[in-house]
Amino acid sequence: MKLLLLLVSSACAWAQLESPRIGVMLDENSRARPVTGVPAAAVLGAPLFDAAVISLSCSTYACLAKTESALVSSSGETVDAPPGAALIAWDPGVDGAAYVYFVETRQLARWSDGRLDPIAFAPDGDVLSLRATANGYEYVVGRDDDTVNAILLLDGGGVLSATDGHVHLLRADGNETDFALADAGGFIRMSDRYVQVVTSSGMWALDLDPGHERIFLLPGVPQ
Amino acid sequence: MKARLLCLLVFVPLIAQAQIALYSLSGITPSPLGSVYGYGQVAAGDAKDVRFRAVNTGTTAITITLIKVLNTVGAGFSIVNSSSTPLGVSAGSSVDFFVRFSATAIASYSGTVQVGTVSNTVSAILLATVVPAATLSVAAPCTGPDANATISFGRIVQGSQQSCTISIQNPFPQALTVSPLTVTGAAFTTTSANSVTVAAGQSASFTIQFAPATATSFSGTLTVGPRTYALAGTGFLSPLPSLTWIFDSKTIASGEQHTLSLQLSAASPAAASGSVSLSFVPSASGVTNDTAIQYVATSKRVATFTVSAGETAIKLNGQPSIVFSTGTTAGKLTFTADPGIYGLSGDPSISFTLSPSSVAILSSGATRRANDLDVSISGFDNTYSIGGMSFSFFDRSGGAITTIPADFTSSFRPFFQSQNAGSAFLMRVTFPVTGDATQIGGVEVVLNNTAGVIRTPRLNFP
Repeated sequence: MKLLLLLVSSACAWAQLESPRIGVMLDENSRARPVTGVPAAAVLGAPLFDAAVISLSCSTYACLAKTESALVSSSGETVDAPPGAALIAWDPGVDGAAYVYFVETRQLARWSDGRLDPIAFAPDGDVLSLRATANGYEYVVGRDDDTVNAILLLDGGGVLSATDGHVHLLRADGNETDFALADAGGFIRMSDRYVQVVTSSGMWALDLDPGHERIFLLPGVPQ
Repeated sequence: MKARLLCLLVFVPLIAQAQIALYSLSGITPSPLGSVYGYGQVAAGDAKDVRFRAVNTGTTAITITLIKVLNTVGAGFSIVNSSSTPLGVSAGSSVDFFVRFSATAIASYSGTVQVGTVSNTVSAILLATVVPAATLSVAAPCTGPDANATISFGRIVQGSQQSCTISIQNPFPQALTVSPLTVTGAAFTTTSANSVTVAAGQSASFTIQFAPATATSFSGTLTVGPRTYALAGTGFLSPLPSLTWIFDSKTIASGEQHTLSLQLSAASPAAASGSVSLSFVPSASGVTNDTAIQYVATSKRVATFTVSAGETAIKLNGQPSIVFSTGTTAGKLTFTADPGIYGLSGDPSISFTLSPSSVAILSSGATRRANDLDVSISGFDNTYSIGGMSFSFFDRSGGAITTIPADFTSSFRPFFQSQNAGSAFLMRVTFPVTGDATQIGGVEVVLNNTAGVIRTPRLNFP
């Protein structure tokens, strides 16, 4: 009876409604576009940034984009950055913070509060992916005998990899899921839940939510 | 007096430079407007619009305060589709406006069009004559005339011929001579005389033959007295064999992506190309479209198809198959092949019904904020009727506490009306709590719509 008093009636409850957001994708014209709706019935929004984007990574609430000469956040902050691509790893422990590795110059920095602070870093090979951990960061480097076309270190210990004809999801607990997909050549973090898979025949997205894993085609830009 | 003289000195040069020149436009080509513009003969009851242009030929901006038509004989001229004055017009720029003539009484009409600033007005006389005109009807297999006054002869095999009967009726109490009565266009001919007299209240018929020599689209004109109609028809090559529609699943429902591939039932007699369009008619009340229903890779509802001579496999947008989204709205989905200059044996279309279904839940969760409990549910409702729901709360040991009914129809209705990409929603419901909210361990939500009821799994508050 005492517990009954805990809840008020539905007259005091309220509902907020909005379009569900899948994340932000990089389209074939190098524009970062929000994707809304449900996975199999998604629609594209207008580009988030004015400039062409080389690298992109998004959490559920923010995006960081690397253009040719700058690092740009979806909240409007811009800082000059080395040319070329970047690997971006959001720090799940600190809202809005991320590690950014500049591939061409092999420089690592930490993004926080609209600033890029360099971090001493001497990788022992070509860095392919990066992720934040409770104690800092970890990364994976390529080997000469690699048969992997692309790799993405996932928050919490999982790994996403692409080989010829397959995308492979390895969970931190050892569970594995395989998706048949030809020509997967890159991964882009669309949100905390979805990863974009770049292929020669289109842009796909992978739902990483445990129990809901599936791959679906992302909408293309109308020509 | 000194002040007034100063004003004149200042303003006179401005007025002198602010000139207006009037033009009439035929299509996009402007012609200087003389003192008189003739609309010619206009059929009784018809409307004829003429576009005019007022150009500021001066070197300073002007403000047009007057765009007006005065009917001097009869009442037939009026301004239509024009911006309201005053209108600022910079030097060298212009404004366009339309003057419509329409009247029913058989007579001659005149009016004056005026365009001006506070200090400068130009004008021209407008003339028109209303004449009696026969009305026209077209027998099958032709269709029309449509809203654009087009008579369609459809699609026929090249080298063949299609005849259509055209009837002209005289609704007037006197005999009516229809002249000219002419047909133009490379593929269109008629045996009718150049003029025909139709008795009062009677009709007369004649035929037009459409004979496409090649596989392409043809156009022509039919002039019946003061009225002109467009003639249209398409010739096509020998028909392609019938289509075989191949989908990756026998069941197709909302919220899915599927793959379509197409084959011909026999080898194509020639290299051919066309399009496969996707159309959708929603069944949910008040819903007009769902833009998420599309070919996904192009975000369009039209795909090209090509087939090589001697082949049966059809390529869609250059690929062996194409992925489409079924969106999140119940209704009828139809694919239609348009073989372009070719004919097609069999049915060019195939349809699916996306059946109304209970609310689809894609994700759900429960969180706690101080004295508020938040329940979030993401999904879609292809009936657009969601609103009624209930929330059953449980304590930490799994015992039932209470069930709270709620009706959020008034929230969903405007939300759906503001969307055009389907019924996807993310709902966050907040329950204010008095007391120790940590005693509440979980919630189950029941969602109702016109197609059924669905229940979430137990959502645990952290």
